[in-house]
This record gives sequence, C-alpha cells and structure tokens, in this order.
Amino acid sequence: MIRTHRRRHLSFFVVLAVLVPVVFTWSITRRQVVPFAENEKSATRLIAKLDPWQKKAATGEILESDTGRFLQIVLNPDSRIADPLVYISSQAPNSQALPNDARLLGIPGTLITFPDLSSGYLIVYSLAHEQVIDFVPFEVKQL
Amino acid sequence: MTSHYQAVGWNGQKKRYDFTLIACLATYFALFVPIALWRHPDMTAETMIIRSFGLAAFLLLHVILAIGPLCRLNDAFLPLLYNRRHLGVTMFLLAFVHGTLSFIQFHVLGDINPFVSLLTSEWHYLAYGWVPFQPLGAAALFILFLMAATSHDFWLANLSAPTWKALHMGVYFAYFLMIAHVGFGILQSEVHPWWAFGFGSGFSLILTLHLIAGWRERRHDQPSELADDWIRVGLVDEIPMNRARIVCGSGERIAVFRYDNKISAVSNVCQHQNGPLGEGRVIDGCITCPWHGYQYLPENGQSPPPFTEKIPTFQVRVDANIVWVNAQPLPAGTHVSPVEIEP
Ligand code: FES
Repeated sequence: MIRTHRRRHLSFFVVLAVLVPVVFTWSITRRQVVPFAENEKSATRLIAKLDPWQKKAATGEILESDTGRFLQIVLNPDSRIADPLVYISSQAPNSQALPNDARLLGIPGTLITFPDLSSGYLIVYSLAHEQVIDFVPFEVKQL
Repeated sequence: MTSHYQAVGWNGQKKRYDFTLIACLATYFALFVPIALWRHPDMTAETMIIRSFGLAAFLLLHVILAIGPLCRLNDAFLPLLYNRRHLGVTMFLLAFVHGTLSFIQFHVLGDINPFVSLLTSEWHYLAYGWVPFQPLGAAALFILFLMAATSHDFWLANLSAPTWKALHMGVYFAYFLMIAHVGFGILQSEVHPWWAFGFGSGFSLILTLHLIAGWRERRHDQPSELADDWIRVGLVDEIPMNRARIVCGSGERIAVFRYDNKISAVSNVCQHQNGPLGEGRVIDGCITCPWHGYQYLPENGQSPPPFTEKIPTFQVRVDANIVWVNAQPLPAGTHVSPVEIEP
C-alpha cells in the first residue's frame, strides 16, 4: 500500500468508527416505531378499536387527528409473520388469498394513513407465505 | 504471477483456496437452512434464498475486510490474502442473488416500473421515521459490481495499481451502505438480541482491527532522519539474512535487503497491488512479495524475464559497518551495483 492510500484508509476508518455505531444505535432504537411524538399524541382521538380479529394475530386502532385518520396495527409478539402487510377490502377473505378489491395500506408497526372509508375489512397478509394471516371488520363514521 | 492475461492463472494454492471457500459456503448453507426452518417453519423458498444469500454475502464481506489488517498485524494470516479477489467476486455473486431475487419478489410484480418502485416505494414512510433500506442495498450492490468487474489483473495493469487501489477503496463505502441496509432492514423485524449482538460484534471487530493496523502503519510512516540525503538504516547485522529492513524516505518506504553477502535497496511498493516488498524474502535470488509472490531482482528492481514489472531502486553505502540508503529514488529498473559485505 502506498503512503497516501494508507493515510486515506486510516481517515476512512476514523470516520466509519463514528458513523457505523451511530447508524447501528439509530436502527436499533427506532424499531417498533411509536407513531406520534408526545405533543402530537394528545391531539389524536381514538375513533375505532379493531376487534374481533379472527385469530388474534394482531391488535389495532383507528385514530383521528387534525391532519386525517390513521391506522395503527401491532402484531402479536407470539405470531411470527414473515414480511407482513396490511390490506383493506370491502369483503372478508374467504380463503388464504386476498379478495379481488384488496388494496395495500402499509406495514404493521408503522403509522398508516387511513382512507376515507366507513366500513370494510382490514387484512394482515404475509407476503413471504402469500397467505392471509388474520383479518378484522371495521366501522367508522365518515369525516 | 503470469506473463500474459488469462481468466484465472490457476495453481495448486489457488485451487486449495477456492476449494476451502466452497466447503465453507456449503457448510454455511447446510447450517442455515435447518436453523431457519426451525425458527420460521413456514418460510418460503424465495425468502429462504433471499435471507441465506444476503447473510452469506454480509458475513463474507466481514471476512474480506478483516484479512488486510490481520495480515498487517500477523504474518500467519498472509495465506488468506493470496486469493482474496476470489472471495470478493464470490461475495458479489452472493449479494447479487440476494438483490436480484428481492428485486423480483418485491418490485417486478407490481404495476409500476420496478426500478422506480425500488427507489421510491419506501419514501412514503419517511415521515414516520422509516429509513429506505432497499436503495441503500442497491447502491452497495452497484459498488460491489464495479469492483468485481474490475478485479482482474487486466484492469489492475491498465488502470495502474494506485488508481485501481483507489477504486477498490469503494468497498469501505459499500460496507457502510450494507451496515445501514441491514440495520434498517432485517434488524427491524429480527428483534432477538442475538442478532443485534452479532451485528454489533461484527462491525466492532472490523473497525478495531483497521484502526489498530492503521495506527501502527502511521507510526512506521514517520520520515527517517536525513544526513545529506542519506538515511541511516542500521548495522549490517541488524538486517536479517535474505530479508529487509524498512526505512521511510521522503516519499515512500524503502526496503533494504541483505542477501548473498550483498546489500541492495528497492522501493517497498510492489507493482502488482502495492504489497509491502520489505516484508517479503529473497528466494532464488529474487525479492519475493509476501502478498501474491511477484518477484524482482534486488540489483535492478526488474522482474526476471519474461516478466516486465519494474520498481525504483536506491543507492546504498556501508560506512564502518553502518548501512546508509540514499533517499532519492532512481527510475524504476535502474541497475545499482549491490554493496559487497564481509561474509
Ligand atoms: S502485491 Fe501482489 S504480488 Fe505484490
């Protein structure tokens, strides 16, 4: 290795020695995102508790704030679901496949913008296994 | 060392090296599959392939990054360096399978352009603290592709070793991107503390090794004191037979060799991949690089025919049993008569 490269190499690693632990700590601490900052939380209202789930694989609620409606779904820690996604549909799934009109909303554990719909079904689907894991009916008043 | 280009200049050592690599990978997959099925009995084949290849590439990158500093710290690791390029290309291929299958599974089957989907699908979640880990992985894969594509000696010779080295330092940026890709990707759903512990231990080891090795090298790079352009190397007997003592000139390091009752000095920088010639030995009358075995004649810094590599040489003198080397390099390949010493 020549001298300038050695120097550059050491500088890279001094920078990496700072950046990598920061990225690591950040990635670990942001797991299971809490969707609202404290001051925003007080401005949200619970408008529907999601129940009953068919297999109790998740819990969830629909919230309302000044900026709109949000859905929050948390998976039951015992249910190991690979690549879970949340869909919305007007019908309950009657097999392991998604209903034809199912629309992707987002992923569990994050705050999902909720569409302007008053009733239907929310479905937790495993993309890895290509099957419906659980679903729950919902009903909310129109905005 | 070959005098012409071929895809791979196979020899016994390279074959053994690659066989060991394949055996290690086979063992890894043989362990990964049952453990993954035990933990996630419903895992599909696609998910299994994506995860196993991704983890294999990530682990192999750690091995690759550890080899350089380990060799700086202890000669016993030098055999690992010999064919490190094959490790690099293998690591790229593993990452490529992981990336391509993820791309197909998560982006190709939708109704928007898959590349647009790859780059934009996660941005909707930025407001909720989500970090788009897939574009980070794609960027790392692109860098690894450039490095794998230029890994052959053809590129090394045509780009010149310093440029090639600078290009291949991109691996450190790729490593950083992969750390972020893994941290904001799989580590978000694999919440068992062992995963975080393994991940943290891996990068801590790499960073520590590189910092220690880099720090030691920095100490060796302090320029030696000059007396009228001459550097004091030490007593003749302080240079081990068929080996070198390294001193630091105003530019690069100089390797002063003692062999056959003679003393000669050449640049410490091998023309192949800039390996440290002064840590090699004189074998069959030639200075032999410890990294991949390139050879140079001590008196003129030229590789023996039919090879054409050349390195700078330096004038040497011995006064009252003390060896001195001139700090000014002579043009690569210049003949300098060795200083004869008492047997
Ligand atoms: S660096 Fe490869 S033989 Fe010297």
